Amino acid sequence: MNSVGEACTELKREYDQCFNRWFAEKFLKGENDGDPCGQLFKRYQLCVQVRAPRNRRLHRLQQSDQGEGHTHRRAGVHGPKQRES
Amino acid sequence: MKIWTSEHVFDHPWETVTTAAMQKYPNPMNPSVVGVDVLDRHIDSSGKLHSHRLLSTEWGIPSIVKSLIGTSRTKTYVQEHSIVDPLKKTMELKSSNISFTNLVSVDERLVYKPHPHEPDKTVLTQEAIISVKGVSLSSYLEGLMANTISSNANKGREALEWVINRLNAEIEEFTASARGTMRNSMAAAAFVEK
Repeated sequence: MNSVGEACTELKREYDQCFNRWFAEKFLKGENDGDPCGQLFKRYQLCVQVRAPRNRRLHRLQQSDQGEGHTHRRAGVHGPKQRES
Repeated sequence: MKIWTSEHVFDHPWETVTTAAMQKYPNPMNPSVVGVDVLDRHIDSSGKLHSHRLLSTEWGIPSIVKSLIGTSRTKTYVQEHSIVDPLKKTMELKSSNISFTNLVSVDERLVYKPHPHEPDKTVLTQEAIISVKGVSLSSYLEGLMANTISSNANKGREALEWVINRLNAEIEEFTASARGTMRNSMAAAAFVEK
């Protein structure tokens, strides 16, 4: 499945493979030693944040639509700075 | 106000259905979903996995229209929040569309749990709420919407079955080739022993 930011599809695919394997083989079986895909997720997230400026607008809209705060960001990636487009 | 609710039983264990649900796209039943991104993922203090995803959908607008108004205006977006509890064996999925015009919003909630009496099956309960400018639709419009939601829900279930079949086929293929390799090694070992 493609990323919404098309340039990030390959990074997303690598992350997805890692995550899907961990999810089925570890997480669902109750083995929670922590998600091993943190690095891949960070790389993929950086790409989406930086290279898909449209997503920043969506992300803002999403946050205002949801009206809830996400204070828990494991991978260290958070909402973009409010630079006006 | 709930516009539509339904319950469905999958003939697969909860782990299989949940794994498939996390990999639902792409699939041939939902060709309009063209992109999925994970915006955030974390495990909370009680061990539940939260995922926030953004889906982008294209509704088959003719390319000449797209070239006039630009592809950014032809996509619609859905935000999804899923919570998987591996101890209680529940998966909850809440989704709503992101509307730039704030006119119509569709909120959906799906919960997957093991069947209470048949442990190798999974029960899915689904509900959808449609609101126009913050006011829930009612009566006449409910009827119109319910049919669309119902047929979409059927597609969604078919999509999961498709993903489950694909995953099972991959496992079978892998097992068969592993068996083949083992047989070859054993034959080679037997030959050497002679």
